[in-house]
Amino acid sequence: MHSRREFLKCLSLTSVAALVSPSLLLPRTSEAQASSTAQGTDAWRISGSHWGAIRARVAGGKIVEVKPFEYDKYPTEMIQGIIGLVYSSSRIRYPMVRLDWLKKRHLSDTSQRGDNRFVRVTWDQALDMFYEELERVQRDHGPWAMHTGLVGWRQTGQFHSCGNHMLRAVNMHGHTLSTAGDYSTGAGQVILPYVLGSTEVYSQGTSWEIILKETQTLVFWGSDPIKNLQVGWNCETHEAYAYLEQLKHKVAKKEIRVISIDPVSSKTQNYLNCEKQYVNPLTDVALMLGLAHTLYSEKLHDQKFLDNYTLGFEKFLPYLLGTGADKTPKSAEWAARITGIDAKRIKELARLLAKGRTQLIFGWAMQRQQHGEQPFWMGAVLAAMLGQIGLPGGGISYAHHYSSIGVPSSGAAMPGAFPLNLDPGKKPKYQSVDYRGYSQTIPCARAIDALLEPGKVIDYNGQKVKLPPYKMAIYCGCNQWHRQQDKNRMKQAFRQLETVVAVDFTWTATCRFADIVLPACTQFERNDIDAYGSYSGRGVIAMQKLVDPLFNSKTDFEIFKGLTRRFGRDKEYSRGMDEMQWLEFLYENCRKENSKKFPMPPFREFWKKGYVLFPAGKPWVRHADFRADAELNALGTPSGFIEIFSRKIANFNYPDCPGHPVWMEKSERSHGGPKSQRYPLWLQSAHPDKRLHSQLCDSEILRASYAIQGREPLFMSPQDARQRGIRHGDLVRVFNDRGQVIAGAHVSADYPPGVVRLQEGAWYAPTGPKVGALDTYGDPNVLTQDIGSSRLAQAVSPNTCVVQVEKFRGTAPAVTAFGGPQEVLPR
Amino acid sequence: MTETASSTDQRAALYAWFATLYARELSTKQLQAWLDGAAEPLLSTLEEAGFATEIQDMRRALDSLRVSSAAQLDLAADFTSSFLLDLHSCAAPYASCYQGDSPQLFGPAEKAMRHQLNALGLGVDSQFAEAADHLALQLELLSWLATARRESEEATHIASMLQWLPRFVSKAQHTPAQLPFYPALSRLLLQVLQELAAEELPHADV
Repeated sequence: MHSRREFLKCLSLTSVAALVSPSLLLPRTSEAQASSTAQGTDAWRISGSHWGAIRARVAGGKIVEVKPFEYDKYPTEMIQGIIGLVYSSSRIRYPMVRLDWLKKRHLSDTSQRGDNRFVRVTWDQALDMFYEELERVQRDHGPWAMHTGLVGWRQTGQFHSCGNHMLRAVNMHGHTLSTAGDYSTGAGQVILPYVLGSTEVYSQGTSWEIILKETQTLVFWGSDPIKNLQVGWNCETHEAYAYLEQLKHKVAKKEIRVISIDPVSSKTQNYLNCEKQYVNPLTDVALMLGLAHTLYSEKLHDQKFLDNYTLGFEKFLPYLLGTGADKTPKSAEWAARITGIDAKRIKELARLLAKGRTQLIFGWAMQRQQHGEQPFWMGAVLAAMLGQIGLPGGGISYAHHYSSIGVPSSGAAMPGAFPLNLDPGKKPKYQSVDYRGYSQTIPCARAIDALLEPGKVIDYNGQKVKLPPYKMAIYCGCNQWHRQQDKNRMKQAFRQLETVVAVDFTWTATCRFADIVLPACTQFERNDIDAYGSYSGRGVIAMQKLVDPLFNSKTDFEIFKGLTRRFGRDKEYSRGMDEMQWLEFLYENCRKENSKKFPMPPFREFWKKGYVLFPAGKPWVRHADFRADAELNALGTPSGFIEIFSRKIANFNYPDCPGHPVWMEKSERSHGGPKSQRYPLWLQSAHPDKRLHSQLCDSEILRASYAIQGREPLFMSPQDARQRGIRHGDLVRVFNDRGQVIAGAHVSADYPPGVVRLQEGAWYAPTGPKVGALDTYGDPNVLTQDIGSSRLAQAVSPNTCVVQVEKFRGTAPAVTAFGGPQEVLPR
Repeated sequence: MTETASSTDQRAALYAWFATLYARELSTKQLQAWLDGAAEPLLSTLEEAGFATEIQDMRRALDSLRVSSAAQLDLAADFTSSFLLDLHSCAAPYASCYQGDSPQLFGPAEKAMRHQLNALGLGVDSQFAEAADHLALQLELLSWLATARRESEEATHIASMLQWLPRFVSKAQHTPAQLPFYPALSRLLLQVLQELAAEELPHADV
């Protein structure tokens, strides 16, 4: 035996040489990586995001510092998560294919999905497989079997908007199964066109300036703008915060009365230091009915407005007064029993609303529940009875917490996007539109029902929808495994899918449960342009590439161009233009459109400067034109008036959505409602405070600022905590019949007894692929119900959810959401 | 190359051998060569040189591959589970991931490695889209330094690698990998570098 010291002496180099690949290090020439290994430059660049515009310092090829764009006076701390997002430990570095799928393709064992057994493949191999599956599904099944997942909050940027790339490319190949509605406002956007003539949820609202000047009583009803205005659909300007700051001063000086009607003390309530009106969860409609009954009984309602601008009040009245079938007056006393609010207080509140100029501002949470259509409809009825719709600082808004709605629009055109449709006259490779009797479009929230109850016919907004058991799903920049309710049900459903493709930059649960995973780069690794201010139209922002795409990632444009190349349509797809040519094209079109009123510099000048800003728009009052002339400016409802009773909806004969708003008990409800004996706590899954849905959850810097023992916080009242022997900072188990999660207890007096919150967007982190596996991080959608709001909207109902909480005992499994082995076995 | 090659050339070859194994999955052809015994002379030499335990483990790992019906794919899946998934669940092959409390990409170690490569006039093969502190590149650098007879820098670099390699190796024992190949390989790598640091090379001053 040789001594260890001598071991190299006997090494046969010839034997080693046979097993060695050529060196990865080369003298620095064109063959060697230039950007990542070279010196790099030190420069500040501008970019945009849902969290606002930023300037970023890039040194040595790395983003080292991020600061808000100087125009943004109220930046969110979320921008500090950007570096953590780009260099996240959860980045997808290479194209991957699930091992068993690679071996058996569409015949793979789908119960293994989520077990983390992937194999790296080259881009060519990945795109070949993607294309071969498109071919197989269109050839063997047809368009009903190919589902393109709705995109949702994609990364920002008009050119690289990933959903457009997916849809254009996949639809060039063949027709697909698409979805209607979205997960944020599914019930609201279906009911309000019947009532007020537009979705309202995505419409510009009365300007804050006017509200500050005219409104005497401002009601935030389940609305938390201070929390939610941090993010915007395009590049957010945060201009609305200046008005909220003024509102805070006015509240302090008692110049305006602001009431937050909410089970919890919201961030907005705490910021404004305004009044709070507690209401039992899910009972807002009962409270509104109690208010309406008081208004009518005390003749405080505006009959003239009801006569001139609304339709069907007389058909609603018997229900309100209890002279109809149910013989139950919806009095304040009746409402008190349901809402937990004293009848006297309800009456006082009604009188206050009728006393002066009252602006109601609704949030979206109350329509993300079973019968979610009702609170929005009843809100419109209440506002109509107050008679102030269309007056400055009066009426109702459904969106002042969203994308700086209420900041006047500049009126300038914003840049267009990469086309999501085929160019005019072009047809897909597979032209079949034979859906075999299945529906071509289904409500997005019913996507899991389609897999578990194939062929089921459901009602949806006056139509019959036959759910197709699609075979292949494609998700691009879209975390389906965050937004869909009831994860254990979803796990079962996903086993029916033959092939799942996910395109993203980070290992979301959607990627983990996919078969083909394609690494897109982040928006900070590509050039783009974006609207600055989705509704204010404040300007156009350049999104200058900060660093090259990391590892083996590519832009969505390059990914889908590569896909279309496989069926000879890549030139048509890209129109023969590259990234910068597209940006110039989109910008110059915008410039041309604005040339008369809003002169813009030529593209190159704009790109160098990084932005162009437009003058502020003029203050504006929602529905003022309708109020001025209801015939000339009729609403988009069937009658042109506000429909308190909808003949159209009544004719659908839906028991869960009759012809006028009603209070209906929920399938489960806390505070004495169904199932509350067993599961006494209402779980609300509100939008998070320090991320955008599931985006930025993987940013460790941000997560460290709110996680408790590395888990998502479960906010709960001191009383509920004490009763269960739970202290702030403890790990807890949150459970119901649908699932169980571990979370970290955040005990706060902002929460009343019986109410707990897990913020939606917490990454799904099961201990394994088995149905029923414990979630280790705290995803509320493990616990929520996957039921439609009603036959009308078939929207999500996550807020109809009750749970129990107990202190977690024993050794908690490691968090698997951002990695972490499923089980650690001794070798 | 011949058996009379200098010990620096031998070290260079050994580093390159490890680098190859950490850079990419074994192709079908490479794996077949392993299964046909191409690595046997090297394994025997290392075994005789005192790495018997580690080599025994490597041989057992090869045996397990011989009975696998889809050895190349299963081993490739293990490569992914071991090194390519998110940085928490795998043994991230980056020095930066072992600095500070939480794994991070492109940390100070990556910057230092880039500077070192630049100073030596070296760049990375553009086909290898990796951060500069990737283990395979660190091993390639050792190989280059050995070939260039820059023993002192070689020793310094081994010493700096040994600051994080034990944590990497420990992590590599607990990834979801199912075959023993990569865990065994990492144990062998650590032993070899520790041996070189202790006895073969001039002591580094780090």
